[in-house]
Amino acid sequence: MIRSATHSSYPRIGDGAWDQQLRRTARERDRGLATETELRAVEDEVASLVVAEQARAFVDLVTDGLVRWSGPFSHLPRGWDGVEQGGLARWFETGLYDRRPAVTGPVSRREAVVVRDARLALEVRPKALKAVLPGPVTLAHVARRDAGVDREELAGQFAAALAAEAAELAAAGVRVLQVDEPILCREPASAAAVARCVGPVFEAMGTGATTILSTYFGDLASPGIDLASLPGTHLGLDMVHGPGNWPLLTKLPEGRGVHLGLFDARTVRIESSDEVFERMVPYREILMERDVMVGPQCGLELIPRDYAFDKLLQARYLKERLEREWQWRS
Amino acid sequence: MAFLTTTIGSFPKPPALHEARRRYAEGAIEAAALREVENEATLRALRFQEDLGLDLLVDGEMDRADPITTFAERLSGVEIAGWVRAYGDRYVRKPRIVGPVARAGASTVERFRYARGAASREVKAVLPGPYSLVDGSYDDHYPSRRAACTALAEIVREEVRDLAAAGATDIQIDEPAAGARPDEIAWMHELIERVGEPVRGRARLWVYLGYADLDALGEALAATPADGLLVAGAHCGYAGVERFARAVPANRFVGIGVVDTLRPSVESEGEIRDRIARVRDLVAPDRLWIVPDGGFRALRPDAARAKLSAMVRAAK
Repeated sequence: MIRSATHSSYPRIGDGAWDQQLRRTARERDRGLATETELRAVEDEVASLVVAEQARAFVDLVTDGLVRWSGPFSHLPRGWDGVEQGGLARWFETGLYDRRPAVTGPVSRREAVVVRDARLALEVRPKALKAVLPGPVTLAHVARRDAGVDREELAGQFAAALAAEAAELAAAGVRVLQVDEPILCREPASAAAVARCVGPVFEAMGTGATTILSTYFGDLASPGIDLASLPGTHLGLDMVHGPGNWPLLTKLPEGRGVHLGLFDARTVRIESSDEVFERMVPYREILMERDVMVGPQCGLELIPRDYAFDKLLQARYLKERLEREWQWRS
Repeated sequence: MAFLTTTIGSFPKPPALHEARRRYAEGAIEAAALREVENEATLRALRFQEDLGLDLLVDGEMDRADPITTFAERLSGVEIAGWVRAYGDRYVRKPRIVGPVARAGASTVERFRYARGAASREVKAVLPGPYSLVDGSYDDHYPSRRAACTALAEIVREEVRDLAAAGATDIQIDEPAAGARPDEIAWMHELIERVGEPVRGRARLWVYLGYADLDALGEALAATPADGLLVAGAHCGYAGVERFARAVPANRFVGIGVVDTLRPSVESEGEIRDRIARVRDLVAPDRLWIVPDGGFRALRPDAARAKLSAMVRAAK
């Protein structure tokens, strides 16, 4: 099966006056002219619009754009005890800053964080929603912790909190879950920890769920990474910033689907669906044996909204060409 | 003991300036009318700093929406791609390099001249550095990041030279992206050398290193070739700051951030004194500067005023 898919985040504002509503309301809130409740209501509106905009690009698998997320490190820990918001750090080599989790004690989940968001998005796209969670190992890697706290043990605590979130997402009707572990491309030695920690998060989704282990900003070509040990029904690979992932397609475990990140979500150059198609041609037979999703290699909020939409359109055109020329059904 | 104090650059824009900028964007007022409002806001920022007793003033960046964007959009070879999120609810209009970059004229000198003429003590000129200009832009023209940075370094170098010619005794290069890629720190230093070369011995060159991970990169960043280095410390509970301060050569000035400029809650004077106590023995007293973590652009004016007042009281 072939599907087009958004990766995770989507730009919250655009250049038009109406598209600036979220930014404007946040500024009004800062000046005491709007309440937190009013800002949250605007976020809900924007999230619905973002889901609808992806549908307008005819993307098969959409997200809620992570519109309400404070950031990739800090958002989920807001619902956890034992973690505070720490100092600023960059999200890998991007211009996006966020607060690191600062661990103050044993971590446990206090309340759901993204379940309500998923319910609202399901109302707009009931059969095509992908929920996204940060990876416990990546979170543990960026977290500030006391010298006595073991990183892997911390990742295990984060994983338990994320598994509880996943179980509630599944109960809310989510059938596709992506967990982001970009650290795996930087630190191949973390593969065992990823396998150990992310597995239970996916298991919490129950049988029949589509579970995507997403990696990006590099490749998984290190010999230290045993692809078969990585959890999930699908493996997310960055084919733009991880050229070493192309030959890996021949080594994927049997039956494993792939979420191919083919469009660069860190640049505003729009790759045409045709140029991306040509890159896929040598791997036609291998790919057609699998369940494949095509789209950007990471969240789209790193580029302006017009460009993000254009990249999704190209992903759709790519999927349509694959259907047409390879007789690949979606 | 009293410590020297300065700020990183930006102050919150008053509502009248927001309104004037909006009206200018709509074509309802001329550039001269906007300039008048910017001048008024600059004067207020200067008076506030003077009243508090800061040792080195800034103009408050009342003419800049965002330091990278405003500098970049005045260059040829650069377009604005659109809005992207930078942190929390903060968004920037991110530039895109589409051709060879060139400077039509000085970008920051007019505002510096105005502020210096209106101030009772020295004003530090502030401008973005080449590494962060490229890091904060999409590059569709140069073959590599290093090539783009080298081209931007020439632009910043000319600007630095013009600022010194206009009488700037202190020039701050903002390189908040300095720690983004550890393997590029060495050639980022070469860029700073190049940029600062025209004013060596004539003006003090400062480099603001932003929110870099000092735990991991403190030693490498401490070798940045400048007369003074400024870092954020409050945001991260001083992780790595002591290590950084120890590594800075003894003949350099060191500015340590003691208030978090991205959180609205105001630190108490006592809290700030405790933070100063952590670094006061690591740097010679006449070399240590007490500063905020970053610019005050993102804060409400009342919060910025309260934070800066507490900082100066604690330092003095």
